[in-house]
Amino acid sequence: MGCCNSCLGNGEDENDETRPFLPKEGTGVSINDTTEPILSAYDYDDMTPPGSLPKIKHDEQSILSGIITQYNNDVIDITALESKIDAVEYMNRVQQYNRKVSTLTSGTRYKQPSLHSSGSNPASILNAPSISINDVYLITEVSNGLQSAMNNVKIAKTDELVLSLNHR
Amino acid sequence: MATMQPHNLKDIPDQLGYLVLNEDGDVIESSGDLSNDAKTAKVLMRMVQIAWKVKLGASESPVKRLSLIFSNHMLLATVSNDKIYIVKKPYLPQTVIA
Repeated sequence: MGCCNSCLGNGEDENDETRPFLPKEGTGVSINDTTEPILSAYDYDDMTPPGSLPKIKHDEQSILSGIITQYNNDVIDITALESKIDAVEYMNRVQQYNRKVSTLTSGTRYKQPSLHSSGSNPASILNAPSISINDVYLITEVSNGLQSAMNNVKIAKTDELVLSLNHR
Repeated sequence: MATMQPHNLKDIPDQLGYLVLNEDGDVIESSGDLSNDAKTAKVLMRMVQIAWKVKLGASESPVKRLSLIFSNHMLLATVSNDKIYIVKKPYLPQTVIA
């Protein structure tokens, strides 16, 4: 799929896995997005004697190292990261981040306005004389009256609720 | 800022249990019939928040205590230094001859 792309001029967006590493005979497929043709081993027939292996190997080496550097740029190896934190430092950071988060989330705008205090001795307030039976009776009666009043709300019709548009 | 005075809810003569909540409604302390009663705590917390907003009149002091009167017991709640104190007592109606 990627063989003839350089011939067609579509080099930049086909820089993917479908492109062969080693070029087909005679084509100039670029590996590092360069347009320099990479000579294959068979191109040396006219230039070098048949036994000149080192030169061929050198070019293969450069091809391979080009591939490696390209993938080094694209791949992140998490096992080879240098920042190793020991446990103490890790826990310190955990606490620090938690503190930071709590100060950000427990600000005043998250709090309801505080309730006014009835004094510094709650026991005395709670121990004060309880409400008398007469008051309880009064409150109960008024509440019952309110509830029945709300249940009996009616709408009295004085005007027509529906008007027709055709007046004759 | 808030001095940690020990409350003496235990010393209320006829108390059947009590709850102490913080300003978020979490149970700090509980005892007796209200021991670990998070449900009552939640309901009372919400009622106190609403009741404490009621204005009693220009010359009246603000709300001091909320009483829930049931048939034979009652729950009393008050706020002191950002804590909510709830106590359960038996309800003994004392008839006042008006």
